[in-house]
Amino acid sequence: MPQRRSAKPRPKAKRAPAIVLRGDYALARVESLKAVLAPAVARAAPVVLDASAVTRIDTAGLQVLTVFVRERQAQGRSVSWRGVPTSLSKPAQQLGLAAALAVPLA
Amino acid sequence: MTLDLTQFHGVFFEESFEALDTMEAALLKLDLGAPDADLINTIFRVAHSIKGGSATFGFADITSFTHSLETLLDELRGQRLQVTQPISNQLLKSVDVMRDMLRAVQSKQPMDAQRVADVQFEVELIIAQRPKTPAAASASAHAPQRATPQRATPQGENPAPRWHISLRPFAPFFSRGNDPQRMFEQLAALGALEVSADLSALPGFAALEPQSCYLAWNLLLTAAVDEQAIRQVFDWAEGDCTLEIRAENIPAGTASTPPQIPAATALEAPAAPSTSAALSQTEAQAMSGLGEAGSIRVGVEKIDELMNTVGELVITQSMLTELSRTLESALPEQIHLGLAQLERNIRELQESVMRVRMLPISFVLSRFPRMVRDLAQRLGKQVELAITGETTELDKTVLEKIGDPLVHLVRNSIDHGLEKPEVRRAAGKPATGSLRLHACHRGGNIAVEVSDDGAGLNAEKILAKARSRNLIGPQSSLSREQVYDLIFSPGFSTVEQTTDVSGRGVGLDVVRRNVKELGGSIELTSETGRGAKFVIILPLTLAILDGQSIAVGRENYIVPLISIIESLQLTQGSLSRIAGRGEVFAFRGDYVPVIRLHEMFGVQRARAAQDGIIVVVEGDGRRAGLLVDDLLGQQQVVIKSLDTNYGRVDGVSGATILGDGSVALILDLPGIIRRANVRANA
Repeated sequence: MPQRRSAKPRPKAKRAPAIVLRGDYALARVESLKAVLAPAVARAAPVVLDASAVTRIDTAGLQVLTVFVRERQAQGRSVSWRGVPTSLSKPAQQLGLAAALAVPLA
Repeated sequence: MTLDLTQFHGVFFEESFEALDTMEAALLKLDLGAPDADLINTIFRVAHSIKGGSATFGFADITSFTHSLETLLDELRGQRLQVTQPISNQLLKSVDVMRDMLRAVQSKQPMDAQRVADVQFEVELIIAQRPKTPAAASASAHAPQRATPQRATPQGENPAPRWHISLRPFAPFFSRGNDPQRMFEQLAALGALEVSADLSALPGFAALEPQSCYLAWNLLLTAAVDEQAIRQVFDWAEGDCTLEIRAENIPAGTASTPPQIPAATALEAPAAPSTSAALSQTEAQAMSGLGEAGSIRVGVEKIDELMNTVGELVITQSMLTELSRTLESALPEQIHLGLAQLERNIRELQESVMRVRMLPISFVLSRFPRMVRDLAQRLGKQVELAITGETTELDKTVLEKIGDPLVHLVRNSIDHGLEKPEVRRAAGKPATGSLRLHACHRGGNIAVEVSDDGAGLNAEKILAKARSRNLIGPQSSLSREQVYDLIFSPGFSTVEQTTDVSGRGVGLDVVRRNVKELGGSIELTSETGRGAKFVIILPLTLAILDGQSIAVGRENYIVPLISIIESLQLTQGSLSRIAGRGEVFAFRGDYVPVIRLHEMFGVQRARAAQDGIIVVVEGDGRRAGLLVDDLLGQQQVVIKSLDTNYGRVDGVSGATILGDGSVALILDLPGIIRRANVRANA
């Protein structure tokens, strides 16, 4: 008798899996930021960006995020934010990018 | 790229302290009757650049305080407030507060928040009480960005101008070290700022080169500043972007052309942006060798190391020369010529390096205008200070030590020398006394003169006091110089009441002793009723010494030439013993105590007990005769510190290495004389 494959318990999808952004995204790490986001650009499922662990981000980093968000919006796909720290929202506002990033104002 | 900013704190503090000195100097120069617009501008710029720098580093308290100060200065600049004595005092007080705040942050100590708040409140009060005009102020702020630090510009009669700023970076903007975020932060500190980003050039995600800049911005700044202030924010980005600034609604009185900066203060302008603009740019600039060609900052330790190494070079070279002399015939001529050339080159190098360590005495003299002003005010005197020769240079080591004696002399002069205005008028002198500080080179020394046109020294009073203290016998007659010399006696003071400023007996004797320890001297001339003049004379450098080499047994010692009075051959009967004074030597009608160095240092003598040479020296105000075996040559020696290489030894002030490679200890005469006294009285 063939072994019955035990069904993997379906994880209760309470939250959509998030892309976690962590640490310091200064110019040196900007390439890795793009690399982290790249797989999700064309993802059909809604993308959640968890930025709660971002300690610092500069204009270049915000530029990458802006392009990411706009590209998805152009495709009619969504991006939402989870846990936006001031280290991200403050520079976003100072640079006039808060709206483009759809970042909730602090 | 964004760097860890703490590495730039040091530069920020240094430059801010310097900037505060500039501000203080300008404030003191400000003639309240006819305030110089350039000086006020200078003061404004200083406050502005410190504010920018502190904002960059997130020192919020300093930023806030400086902003209030800047606002007040802006009112003065725009002539909406007049410079008065209370305002000038308040500004000086603010300089003190800022210094304290910077020091607190620098040393990571808490600052006196109450004092800061009090002084800031006083500044705000002055601003608030400025005379209002009937012209209605129009609203300044448009809907500001919420999280951006906003301040409504002080309105005055005219609405603040609106500036349209267009920033279009080129692609390498970020990698050239520019950070728009910081720039916008600085702009926002000037006034109400609206930022709108231009996303039209952004590529698709795949095509995005993350390190390139595709963004541009249009900004609207409503602030009572001139275009220069805005351009300054973008100074470091010049060449990396297209920047357009257009003013709208310029009221009369706000210049759109940059105000004329006098040449002296223009030097501050390039220094200021280095902390207020994106700092990574500073590093990029330094690395690419760009930047102002005029000067660079060098750490003091590097110069000291350089001096040390050059000192070693001098010693090595003299060893080689010594060696070549002993091998003279065995060596080809070229070697001797080569060594002679080497000696010349090294002398030149040594002189050059010593010049590097030479600093103008203005570093020390610059603190006096403020000190004199405060002191004069406190003592109810009117004093006009004239400083000349402030460009005279001296070695850093001497510079550090010359300040305290000068401070003491200046305090003495204002406290005791210069009379109160009524007294002066009664004596037919102008009510304002004059105090002069003058520095110049004199031979191989620097001479700093403190002179005043006050009451001068009163010989009778001095004599009376000296007699009452039993410093001199009741019948002894002294020459004028000797009388004046009495004021250098320990604890001597002719003042009836000591003020907390001077006259507490920590006095001129300490000053003279300190000056002597540095190998210098003090001259004094005075005319009763007309004034007094003190001149401090110090060697140009403490790193080398003119010394007399002496031999005791097999050991060599160096005696500082400046302390030697005379050297004499011992003759039969010139030594004797006096009860209560030990062994003495008859010298110029007096007896000087004899110090047998070989006993003190435990060295075997090469001569008989009554044979040898007496070197009469002076140390600590006392004379002594050093009994030595031989006098060797006189030479300039490089002083090596015994402290750092070994440890402290009483009676020895340092060491040097002679041409034959042996070490010679440099004698500390005051120490030796003290030691001898102790032993004699034991």
